[in-house]
Amino acid sequence: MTMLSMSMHPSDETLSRLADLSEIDRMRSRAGRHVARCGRCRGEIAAIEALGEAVRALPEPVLPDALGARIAERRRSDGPTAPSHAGAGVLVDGGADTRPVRHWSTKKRTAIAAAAAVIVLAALVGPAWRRHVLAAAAPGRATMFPLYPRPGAPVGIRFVPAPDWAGGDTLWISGVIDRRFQPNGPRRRGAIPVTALLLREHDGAYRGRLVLPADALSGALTVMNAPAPGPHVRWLARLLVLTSDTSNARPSLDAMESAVYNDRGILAEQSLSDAFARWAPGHPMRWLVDVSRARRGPFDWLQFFTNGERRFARITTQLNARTDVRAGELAGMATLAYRLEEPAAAAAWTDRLVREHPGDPWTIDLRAQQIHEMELRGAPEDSIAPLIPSLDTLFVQSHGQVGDMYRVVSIVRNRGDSAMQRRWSLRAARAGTFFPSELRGRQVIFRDRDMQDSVEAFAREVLADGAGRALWNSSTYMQDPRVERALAYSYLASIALARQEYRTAVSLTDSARLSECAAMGQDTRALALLALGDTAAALPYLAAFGKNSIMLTPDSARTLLGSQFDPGRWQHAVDSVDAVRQLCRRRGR
Amino acid sequence: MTATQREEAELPEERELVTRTMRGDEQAFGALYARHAATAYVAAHRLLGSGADAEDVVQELFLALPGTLSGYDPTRAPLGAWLRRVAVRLALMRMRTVRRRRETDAGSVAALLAREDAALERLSIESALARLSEEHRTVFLLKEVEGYEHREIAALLDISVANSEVRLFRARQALRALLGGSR
Repeated sequence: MTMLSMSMHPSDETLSRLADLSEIDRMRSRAGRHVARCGRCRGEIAAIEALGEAVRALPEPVLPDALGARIAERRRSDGPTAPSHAGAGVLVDGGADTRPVRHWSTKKRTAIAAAAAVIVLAALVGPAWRRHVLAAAAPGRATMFPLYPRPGAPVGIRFVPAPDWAGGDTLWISGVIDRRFQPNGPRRRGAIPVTALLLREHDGAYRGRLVLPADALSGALTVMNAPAPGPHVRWLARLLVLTSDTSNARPSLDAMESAVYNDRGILAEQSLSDAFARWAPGHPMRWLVDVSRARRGPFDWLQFFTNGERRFARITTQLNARTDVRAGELAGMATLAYRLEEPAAAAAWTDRLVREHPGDPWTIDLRAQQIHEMELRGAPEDSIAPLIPSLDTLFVQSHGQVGDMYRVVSIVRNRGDSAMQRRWSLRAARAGTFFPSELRGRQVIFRDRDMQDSVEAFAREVLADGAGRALWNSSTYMQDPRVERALAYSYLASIALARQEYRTAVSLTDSARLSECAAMGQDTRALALLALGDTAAALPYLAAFGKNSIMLTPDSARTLLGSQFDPGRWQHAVDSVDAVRQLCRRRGR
Repeated sequence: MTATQREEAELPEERELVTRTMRGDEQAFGALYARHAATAYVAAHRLLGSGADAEDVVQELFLALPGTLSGYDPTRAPLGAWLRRVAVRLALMRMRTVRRRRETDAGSVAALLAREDAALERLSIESALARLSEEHRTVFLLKEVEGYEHREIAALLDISVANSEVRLFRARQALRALLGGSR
């Protein structure tokens, strides 16, 4: 930065740092003085600040009323609470304002001191603290037997509620079982949902059973107090499923890696980390997964000081000495390297993964992450471009398994040629991965007849599934059946729009509405109404665009509406958008 | 009465509540919960992205409150701000044990759908935030929403100040790309 010429723009990273400073502090640096007189850089800083504003402006979640009563009840049942001060010391923010930054050597010294302190602390008060935390967090304990079942075998589940439990006689198990990959299967992960009932027996415990699929690898089961998602559902316990391929004594490595790949073990009673520690202690994924509930508390504080870099170097030496390294191990090393902010090491492990296991499901995702990291770091175009065609190759070799389709399609959309873009849009459509808020993505999809057919088939599959399962096999975070059905209707409406069936499009968007101002596909509705010449009716639906309205330019509208596009009507509609949006917000409040 | 005057007037009463809570007074405990639970919940919810986890954090915080209050120094920070910071620490502890969830819990979906205003716009920002890696999202929220300085974030997450700055930069870049605002 000291070499920055006044005629040169500061780097994006420098602008990010300047955005965190006050105006006065900015002027102390040469880059800050540049920004003060450069409209482009001021605009960049304003855009950075707007991100924070946008997040701070999000409505705050409301504290559930029932929580206070639950805590009061817990305090009553536990008696007068006087938790261990030592346990509390882990929580207390004793000196945030004066705490020095820990550098490497300091960290090592602190780790030794902390470890000693924690061992003494844990011996004295750890059990009491842990019991307290667990009592506060869990309304009961679930167990599964056998712990590591064979695929295709029945599994028993038992839930022992806490003494103050006041639930009914029935609980529900809802979960997902990951099956061994089938190259010709309809879903890349082959995960299927499972449900079961738990019934209370005379001893107060709940029991139930389910049978695993014959090709089960891993999975997650949740004990709930209601059969379906809803505002009153409470997750009572989580179980991690790891199958065994030999006996019931130990989980298979395939099962453990599958659990990592599919993000199982979250909040589970058993720990995936413990399973790796016991059955595959040298596997890098041991350090990527969660620790168990039972190990929270002071012991978690000890993990705070663990030596990631040294551990990484040790495993690197071990794996470099081997020629038969599993894809999961290489993927684990690449992911660990990203955690340690070592993108060059991550790229090297990814390259090895591509060379040695091109058909493995991890490979294409890590290649995409490698490209994404290079983009973020502003790597030269000529170093990124050679990697792009490998996405096609890896897709074919992995039989179409892509974990994060969104990321790959985004990369291809920015860097692939038109043929590659079309290929990947089709693949995304067939995988059920759509991008509802991105009109640009839909323009690509809906200009293409094959694309329309693929999207239509998948949307109808979602609507035909009455069980409310999370069929959208994408990185979407919505798993509410209402949202899924609304999305399906919105895509069917968009297809109708693309086929110039405007009245059908309008009627389909009726089914995509979730509330007065929250609805899917209302951009499609507005465009269809504009195409029908009903500008007045279109206006309220333009409000649904929100910030994405910037995507709906006259050019994109002309592309979508073809000869039906009327610039005059369009401009009139756009001029009214802000007013209508404000009206909708006021009405909503 | 200005906000500062109001805070000063409330201070002795709050100190009294703290003392009584430490002695096991249920009414004083209830009063502190009513005053401060919501802000702790908001901080935890933002970091964890889950209503159920945020409830657990608040429960953990308040169940341990009589003991943790012994570490509270009223001359350094108002109680509300202090509790919020403790809630952030608890949320970070929980986060280290819970990898980022890929689903929104049912409660927050219901809450989202119940909101009438600009829901799609919010969906866009929220889903963009959710797409960030946990490391980047945590730093972004700690800096932009909770107002921590980089040196504080570095201490909380056991990373260097430079690393915190880089993570924030990457989070911002990724968010802008996701929201369609990258140049």
